[in-house]
Amino acid sequence: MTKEPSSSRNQTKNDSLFTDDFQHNITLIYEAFSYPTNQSLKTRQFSALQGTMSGILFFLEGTVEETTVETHVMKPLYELSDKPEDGKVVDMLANSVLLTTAIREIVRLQDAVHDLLNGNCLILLENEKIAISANTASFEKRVVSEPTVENVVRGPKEAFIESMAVNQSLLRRQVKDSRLICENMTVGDVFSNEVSIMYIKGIADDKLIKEVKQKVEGIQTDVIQNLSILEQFIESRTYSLVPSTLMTERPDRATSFLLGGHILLLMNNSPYALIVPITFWSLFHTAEDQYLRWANVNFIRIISILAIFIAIFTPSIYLAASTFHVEMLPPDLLFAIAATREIVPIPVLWEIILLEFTFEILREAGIRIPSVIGPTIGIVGALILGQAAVQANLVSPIIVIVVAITGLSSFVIQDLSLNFMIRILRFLFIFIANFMGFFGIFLAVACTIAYMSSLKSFNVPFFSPLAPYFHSQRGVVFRKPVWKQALVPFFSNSRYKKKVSNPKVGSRDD
Amino acid sequence: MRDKWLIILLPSLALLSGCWDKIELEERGYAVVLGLDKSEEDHMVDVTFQIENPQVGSTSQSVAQNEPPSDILTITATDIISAKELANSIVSREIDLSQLQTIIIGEEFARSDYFNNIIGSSVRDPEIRRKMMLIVSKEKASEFIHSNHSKLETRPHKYYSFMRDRWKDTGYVPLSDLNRYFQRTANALFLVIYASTEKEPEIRKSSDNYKAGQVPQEAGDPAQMIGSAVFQNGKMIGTLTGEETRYVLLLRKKSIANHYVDSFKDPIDNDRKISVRLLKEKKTTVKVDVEKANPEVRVHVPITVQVLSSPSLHNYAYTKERQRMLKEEIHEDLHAKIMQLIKKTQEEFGGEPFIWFQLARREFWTMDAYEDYDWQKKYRNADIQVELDITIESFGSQLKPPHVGRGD
Amino acid sequence: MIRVNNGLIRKRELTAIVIFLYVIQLMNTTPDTLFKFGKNAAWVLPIISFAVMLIPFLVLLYIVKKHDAGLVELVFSLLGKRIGSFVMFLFFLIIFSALMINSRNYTDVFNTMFYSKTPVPYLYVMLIGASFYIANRGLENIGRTAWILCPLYLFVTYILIFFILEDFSVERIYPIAGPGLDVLLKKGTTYSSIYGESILLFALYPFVHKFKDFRIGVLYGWIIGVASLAFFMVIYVSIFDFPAVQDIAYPFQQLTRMATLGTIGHLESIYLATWTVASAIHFSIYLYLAAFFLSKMLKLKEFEPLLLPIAGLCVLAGLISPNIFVGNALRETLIQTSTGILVLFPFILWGIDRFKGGKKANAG
Repeated sequence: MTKEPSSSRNQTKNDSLFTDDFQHNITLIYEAFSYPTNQSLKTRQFSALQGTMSGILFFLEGTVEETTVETHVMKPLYELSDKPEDGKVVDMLANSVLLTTAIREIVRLQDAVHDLLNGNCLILLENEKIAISANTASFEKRVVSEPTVENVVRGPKEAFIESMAVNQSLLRRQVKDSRLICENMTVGDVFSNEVSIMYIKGIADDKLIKEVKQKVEGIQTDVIQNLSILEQFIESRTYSLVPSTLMTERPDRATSFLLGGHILLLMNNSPYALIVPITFWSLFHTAEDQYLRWANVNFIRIISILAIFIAIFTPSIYLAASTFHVEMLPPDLLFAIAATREIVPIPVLWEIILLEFTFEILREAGIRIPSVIGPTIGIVGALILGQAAVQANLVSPIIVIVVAITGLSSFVIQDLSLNFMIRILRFLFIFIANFMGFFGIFLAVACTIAYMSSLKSFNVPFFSPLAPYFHSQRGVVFRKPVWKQALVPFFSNSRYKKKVSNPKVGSRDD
Repeated sequence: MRDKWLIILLPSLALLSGCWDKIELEERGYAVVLGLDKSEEDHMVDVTFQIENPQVGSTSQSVAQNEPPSDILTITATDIISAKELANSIVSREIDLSQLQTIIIGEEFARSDYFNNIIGSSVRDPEIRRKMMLIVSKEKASEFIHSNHSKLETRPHKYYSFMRDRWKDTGYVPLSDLNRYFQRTANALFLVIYASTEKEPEIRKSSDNYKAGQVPQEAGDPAQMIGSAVFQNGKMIGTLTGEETRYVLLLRKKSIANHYVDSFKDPIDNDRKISVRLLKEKKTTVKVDVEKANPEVRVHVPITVQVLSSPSLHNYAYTKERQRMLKEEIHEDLHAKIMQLIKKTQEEFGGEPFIWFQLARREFWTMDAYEDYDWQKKYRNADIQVELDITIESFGSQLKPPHVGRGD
Repeated sequence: MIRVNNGLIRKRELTAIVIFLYVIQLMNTTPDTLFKFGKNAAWVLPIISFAVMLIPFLVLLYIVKKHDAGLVELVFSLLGKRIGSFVMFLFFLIIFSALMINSRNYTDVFNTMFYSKTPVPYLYVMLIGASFYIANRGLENIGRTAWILCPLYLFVTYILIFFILEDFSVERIYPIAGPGLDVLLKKGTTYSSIYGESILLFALYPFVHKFKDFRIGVLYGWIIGVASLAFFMVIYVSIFDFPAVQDIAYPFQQLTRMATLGTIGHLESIYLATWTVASAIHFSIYLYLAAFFLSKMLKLKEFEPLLLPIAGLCVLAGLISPNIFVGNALRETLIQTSTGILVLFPFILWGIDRFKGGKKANAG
């Protein structure tokens, strides 16, 4: 794997050139890594060609594959038989002796340090002011495993891991095309990290690519550990509940976004891909959307839409109905609620708040709890708690149903940001319902929709292609049959080819 | 930063206020039946509220053992709304009319001039819905409500909602709600369900020629609902029996109740009765001719008959002759009764309950022309002919009467 | 390649805006006003009004196409700066008084039918506040919001018919001519400014993508509005019958109170919801137009800052009228006076345009 490390923007003060003085060069490296206090730096002196050529090899422990160093670097050096011409030692070594995938000639200490940190081994030769860096990187990483959050029933069962190289490999396997571009940038002024920006050339909008790159470049901070933090730096609206980026842990989903003209950001230490720009629909559609048959996926879409509405509105509508609009409830239900409410000491607002917060606490606890004792609590615990609360006359039974169905529905929404948005909006609507009933709720709904449709993520309107409307090749609320879909960038008119492959149906040009 | 403050401020604002129309649902007293009676005082009305107790019969979670299923109280006030306000000085809960389905009107009050004023002004209040059922009770409405306790339905709202479904089946009573009252009161006779808990049983030969209170009954629920009260121009002017009500529905172009059981004289064994189910599967066609001095009305009623039982044990299924006899008997009997009913409406009430005015209206170009014509008045002298088209469809699940005494 | 929003709206957004401008009329007191004169045949009135208003609309469409400029630019270029400003002021007055009277009217309906104990000013401020919020986000955004919500809005409105089918009888619309054809024609013409906004919508022409989008957008939305109003007025007569329907203040709200869906008796809260959303969007369009005309009159470049003062003024002015019946009377006067202005105005413009054009041709 060839990686071209970009020159780092941060100019450190120990930026000096290597010289002819072998000992001086060694000292430079030692000083840079505080050797011998820092025991990570490993050195190996060698002499080849019957002692006529001697040098020293550096690497950092834990960043290199030691067998590669042995077989691809050391062994060729020792087996060297032809004496190189004077002044061409480095050239010869780099071109015809060393067997690693990438070789670089280095003249500056700073680059040497950078390469060492990234898992290369560095060879310094006597009487040479050029060092050789050979790629032997191998950081510890786990194996590619199944996704933990975005589960699907049918579809690929692999997820991104913390290694950017592996993640890129996962993507490359899906898009075998030369147009898949991967640009690397560094972020973080003090402790820099690499960000890789991936897109398909000719499909992703050029202005968009430029904008994303500018945004990444413009970040001024000491360190960005991983994508989740990068996300917060480049998102459009910090204080808004509505997300403007999307994270996925599935390479197949990331690929489908790539093909749709979105831009992907990858970083080491993040088992995710960050996708920009996004629309509401990219948050709403799940990974499985394209894998299921037409009827099935649309059935699921209906369920998901319902779930979103239930998750946002059920408690507030119940609250409004029971305090402002009692005529809404059928008499049998109304009397049953009234009978049980009569012995409950707190107003219905506090009933809902109490149970909703309990549910949210349980949910948080379920995530934070050590997995050893995890199974003991959970949603079951919530139900038992609810049951007990009912028996203690703290809440009425219907509230347990309302909160349970609300909570359950919120699990249908897979995307974490959207999920949070819905959970927080729910509380907002509860308070508004308490204040003005349906009138308040639906004024707020009108304002919310107006707010959301005015949002943009990297200049792409949040609700497009529904509003502003343009013909969507994949379907927005409902999915079209796959053979009717043309692969088209989500926000533009252009497409890969003019005709839809299935001759039964003519294509509809917008 | 301003956004942040807004986020904190808004919920706290909403938490603190939220008063005005907000009231917890258990703090409301749901009146499910409303009774209206003539008051001793002039221009006053006795309003009876039957307020349902949610803790009886609705859930097993919290049951009040010693409370009755409903609370009934009567308030004398100038109208329904002020009675509602006054009632709150007695009832611990705010009286809520949102679940009110039924308004019961005492006959005495219905016959007074003041009735139309009360009903007409009550719809100003959005809580009074135009879908509310009207029932006229023979006795005072408050007495009716007090004595009407169903054995099967503990909760009164359930009783009335089930009864409403039965009305659609039997056709003994018309469907009468406030909307229909306002539709028809200016143009025609308006029929209201007639009910009573006072009994003066009369045994009649014809199985359904009863008014409320007259049905021979022992034990069971106290209230009888059969027949209809006739309203003209917002005032009750008479009554119809259950049978007559059925015929009215039969003659309407579109009726809600379109099948019911009736009994006729057995054409062979004249002392016995034969029970049939009458179905109106197609619409009645009515032709109104307003060109002549006295309007001409031609009614064609398609009726399908299903024989249900013949206590005389004669077999009607197999011979055409007997079928013809049965058909003729039904036709003759029905026709005579219907014509009698029409005569009654023309002479006694001076108006029609058949909603033919809608069909007469079709014949005019403008509303003014129709109003000048004065259909209600012209109807009194109208030439009305009714044609019954009877088809015997089936003879029940058993083809022949059982063989008795011939067994070996 | 990328479709960046350029602030222009397209035909769908415009259609949706016009739908929220007009379809909502079937829910307010417009049917009530029309029943008073049209009796049981009042459902013909919207169609007549539409036909009457269509002629000046088409004339204006012709002028706009010829010059490819919006109403405001036309007025200023054809009538000069002074008169132009005056005309802008007139338009502002028409829109603002409609906004003020109608919004007060709607608030009263909310107050009477659903929130009888809540003081009117609170409801009013909330309604106009929401409209202000929507309007403040720009025309493009009003269009998008309207477009997202309008299918749902139409669906929920029309599905009401199935809930009241039991009481429906189409025979009640007879006698077909109601008060007589002459009365219908006369009243239909007098009240044609219930569709007067169609003329004023030309002011939005510069914000529409292209001429065709504008023509199709306005006409579609308008026709849907007329058809809905006429259709629902047939429904009202068929449910309530003639003399009774005249006495009903809010026929749509009464209808929703009668609707039943199986055992679930009372559906009016669902319609309260749709009505709330629809009125918020409806008044946001009015606010936007009012601010637009005022800014043109004052020759301001930006008009968004005007939205808040106009909203505030609307609430203050709206609260002056003591109740809905005063408001209704005002509304009728407004409709009748503005009819004349709005019907004649396009012809005046056309005449001046011909005159100027002719002069130019002679000179050249």
